[in-house]
Amino acid sequence: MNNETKEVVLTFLKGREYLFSLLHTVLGAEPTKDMLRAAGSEDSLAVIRLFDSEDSCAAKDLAQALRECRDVDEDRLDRMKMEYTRLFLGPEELIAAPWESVYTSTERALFQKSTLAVRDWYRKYNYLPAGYPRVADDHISLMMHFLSLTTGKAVAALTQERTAECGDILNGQRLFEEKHLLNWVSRYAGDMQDSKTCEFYPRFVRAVADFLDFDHSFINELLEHMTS
Amino acid sequence: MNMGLINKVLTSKISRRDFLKSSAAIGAAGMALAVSGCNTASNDLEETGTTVPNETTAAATTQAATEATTEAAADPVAPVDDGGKWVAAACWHNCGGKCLVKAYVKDGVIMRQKTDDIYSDDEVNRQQRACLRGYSQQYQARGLDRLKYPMKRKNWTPGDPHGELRGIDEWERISWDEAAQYIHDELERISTTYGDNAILVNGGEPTALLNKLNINYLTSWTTSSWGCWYAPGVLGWGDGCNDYSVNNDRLDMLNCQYCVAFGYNPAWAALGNATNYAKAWKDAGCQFIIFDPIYTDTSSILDAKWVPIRPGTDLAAMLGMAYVMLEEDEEKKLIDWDFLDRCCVGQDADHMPDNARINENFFDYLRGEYDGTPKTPEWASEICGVDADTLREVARILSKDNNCAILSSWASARNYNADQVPQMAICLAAMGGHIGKSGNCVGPTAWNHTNNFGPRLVKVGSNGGAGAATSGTGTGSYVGDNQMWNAVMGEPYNPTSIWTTLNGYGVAWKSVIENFDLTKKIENTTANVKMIWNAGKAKLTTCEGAKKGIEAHRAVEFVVGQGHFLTASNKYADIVLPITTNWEREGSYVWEGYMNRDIVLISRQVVDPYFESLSDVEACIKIGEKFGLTQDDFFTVSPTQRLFNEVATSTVIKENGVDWENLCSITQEDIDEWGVEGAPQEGRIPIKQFMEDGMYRVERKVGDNFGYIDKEEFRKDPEANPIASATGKVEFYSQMWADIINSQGYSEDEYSPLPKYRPATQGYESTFVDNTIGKEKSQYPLQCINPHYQRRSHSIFDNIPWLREACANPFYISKQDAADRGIKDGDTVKISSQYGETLRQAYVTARMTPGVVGLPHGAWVRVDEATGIDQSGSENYITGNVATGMGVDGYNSLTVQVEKWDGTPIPKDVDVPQTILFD
Repeated sequence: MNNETKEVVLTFLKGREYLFSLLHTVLGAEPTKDMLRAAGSEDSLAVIRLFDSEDSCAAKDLAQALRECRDVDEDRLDRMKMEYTRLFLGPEELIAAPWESVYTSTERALFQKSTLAVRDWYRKYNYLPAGYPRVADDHISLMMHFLSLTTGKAVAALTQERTAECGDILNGQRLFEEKHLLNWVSRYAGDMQDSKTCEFYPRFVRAVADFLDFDHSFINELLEHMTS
Repeated sequence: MNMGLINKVLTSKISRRDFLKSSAAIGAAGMALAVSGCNTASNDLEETGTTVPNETTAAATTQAATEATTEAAADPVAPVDDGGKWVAAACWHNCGGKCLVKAYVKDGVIMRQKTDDIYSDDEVNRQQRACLRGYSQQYQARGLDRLKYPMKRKNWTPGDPHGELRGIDEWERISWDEAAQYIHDELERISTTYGDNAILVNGGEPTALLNKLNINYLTSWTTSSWGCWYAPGVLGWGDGCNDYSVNNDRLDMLNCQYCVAFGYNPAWAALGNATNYAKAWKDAGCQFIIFDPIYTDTSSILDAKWVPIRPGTDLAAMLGMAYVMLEEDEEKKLIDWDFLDRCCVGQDADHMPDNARINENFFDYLRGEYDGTPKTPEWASEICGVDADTLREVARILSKDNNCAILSSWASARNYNADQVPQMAICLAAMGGHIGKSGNCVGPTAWNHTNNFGPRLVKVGSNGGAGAATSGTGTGSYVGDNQMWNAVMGEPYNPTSIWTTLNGYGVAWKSVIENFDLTKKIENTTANVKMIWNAGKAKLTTCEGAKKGIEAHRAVEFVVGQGHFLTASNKYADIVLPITTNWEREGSYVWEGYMNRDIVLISRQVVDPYFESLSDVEACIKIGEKFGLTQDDFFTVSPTQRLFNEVATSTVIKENGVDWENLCSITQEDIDEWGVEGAPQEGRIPIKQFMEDGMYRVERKVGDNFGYIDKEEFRKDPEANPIASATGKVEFYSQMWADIINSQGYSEDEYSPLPKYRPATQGYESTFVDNTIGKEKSQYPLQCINPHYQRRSHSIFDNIPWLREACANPFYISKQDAADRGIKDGDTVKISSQYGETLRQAYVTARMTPGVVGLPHGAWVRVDEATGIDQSGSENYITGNVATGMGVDGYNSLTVQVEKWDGTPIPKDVDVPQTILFD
């Protein structure tokens, strides 16, 4: 990998680090005006544009959803909050549960075997949920945070010429996505389309699911260039 | 595949330009997001450093490495020796079981469950195996639909409640601090503005707080379990729950030849070993004769003679049998005259009790001396539906020459106007002398003690108290469940406190009633309820008149709900508080040892609290802090110390059946490990083993010293060993029973001291025009009963998908009644009463007595707001607020009409969302 390639790879990694951090934030809390403004800012959209691909509309869809909401009025924000509460918090039935275990076990329950498997991934990188052990580790927002943080580690490794370590992290991310995201997020996004409102989240989560599909392939591309 | 993004940047100038712009934006975008102030704390990861805070670190890390580095890790579940451990877990519900449940827990995740594999299992000593509900406990404790955070109804604000939106409003997440502040402010405002009884509290959990705040509140009392077996201490009998020395020991019952039972279905109502015990009697030769509107699983298992009977008419059937015994005695010698003479009062003119104010006796009532109607089996048959010959046959079986037990579940007296069913059952047994002898007994058999009676063989000790610093003066005054919603709506209600204090008392009932003037009827009063606090009782599901209950919830200014799920009661709240299950708390004796007499069960904390849930006490403390209270005002002795104290002072009976010893031996090492204060002691088993086993069982054998024959000493010498009735004897004529009932003022007319038949409000007679048998059928021609159902322990577990799949919760209807209405098995039907309507799938069966239908107890109310029709088969959505006699909750008295539903068929429950959803 020559220096030019390395710089490009590093930039894409930093872009991924930001983007997963963005997904962690947007999926992890009720919306606020400041958060929406930051998420839909020109800078933010510019980073997302890094991932514009002829093979996937995911980045465009993410950007479009965020752009539409970057300057919402109070009424719209209120409706978005209600939608987030209904889809992510309850207490009514969650038509699309943001936890892997609900999709990978036979029962609609949290803290299942897949939760433990995800936690083991976190532990491998010395992370645990801030709410451990009260929260279930396999929430989509936590997983996005994991991808963001480990991408940060990959950036650090590559910056310091620890290319093999960077490669290990990316290989791990690829496997993590296969084992714990690609196995359910598409169904999760599908379920969310039954939401009685579509202020933001059903569209956004659909784009997230598409982006994860894209990212899984993109990790291969990164690895190919790192070993070239 | 098109050219990759990286190659594109490397090879295209245009792409390169855009790339550099994007690259430059990363830092600024990241910074802006970081300072946007979004609180993702619930979904953040944190670095742990190199120390992983869990004892399973090594195993977990190995496991992670396995999955993370080899793609072959198809099943991430490690084998049993993977660092997890078995924990004795509570199955704490109000069912008729109480069984051993254990959970295998690894790093906070429940991997599997098991049950009693500690003790042997044979005909005499049964393992305490969990039922289907016990095994699904893991999915209750970890269910997706658990309440996770305090939530507030969006359109509720103090002083502007928009009560009409309760149940259909949106929600907002709030912090515990905000929730506590809201509740503090409303408690203060409402109690100050409206005074006493402005707050209705359902469940005991908040009462410690209200007590300390000196707030007087309204709460409810109920006979919902016992029916009219609520306070049989007045008759000298135990209620089968608080006083369980009411029938003979289960091993003595091996000597019983005939068991005549009413509404007796432990196979559904008392999972666990109750049916096993009865089967042992059957295998030893006992013939069961079971009066029930349903041919139950119990009847099937016990190969019983099933006697189909109409609900609420058991007393008529018993009178018919008593008549036969009297009529045929001269020829067949059925009656135990010696027992009647020595041990009973009121049966005839020669044995009238001194306290009698009416010159009527039971036998003359049977003969029709007072009303011109002899209580012949033909008379009884017309009411109860049992043919007269069957009544004659059973009456002959009840001969003094046979060893007979008369057992009644509480259900047969869970009818309006059934106040004298207990007295009649006792009298019927007394006529054959089936009291105080081996193989003979009479009484209720229900709940945790079903079929296993006698004093406890292992006793739970004392926890030593909480050491709380504060005790206040706030107390509750009572309204019956069946008038509760009326009271909230400002309608008159009966403020009785007699029955609430008599429940469970034996001899002590006499000291209770000394405080009451029984010659006066209690006068109704009204309350000004402005707040409802729903805690550990799901009253909107389990209490009569749920439709009115919803109306009541929408009428007040503030509703708080606390619990595990968005139950119906929480659904209509303004603030809901997430509460831990017993699996997330310090361990305890399950039900404080209220279970079958042979065992105690103990549990430990299984997992950490779920999301932001707190225990009920912790929730009270949070709110109390807003009033300046602290934890020390609630307890200064830690939960662990209290549990230790309780275990250390628990005792077990010695083999001689007289002496007792400590249950647990305790060493200084144990005390240090617990981190508590205590002293080493000798005991039956090491405390460590007890806590790991989760159970201790006293081994029984036929002929051991632990047997019990109820009222044996009384029978031998009734003068020296009187029972707890007012006269000390079995009362065919009970002035006290009648006086207490009549003093309550629920019924306008007087109850006789004799067990006379009274048609039930909404009983069989009500299925005819003018309440007259033989006239044309009324608008509601069917009788509806509410049997316990295997899916649920009352309302608990109704939401568990496993159980929904296994137990469909259908509506039971006879072939004949279904055919008359063009209803086929599986059809959605509408069940209507004068109070409400509900939908269910029909289960058409020959097991139901024609004219009777069954709507199982405990489904969570789920109302279609557009039609007002319940979608869940909630029995209490179609019951009403009726109070008769002692104020009984007469769930099994309900008349309905059933029709095929011509709307969209309802889905199976397993396909319905776990919580209630309104679009």
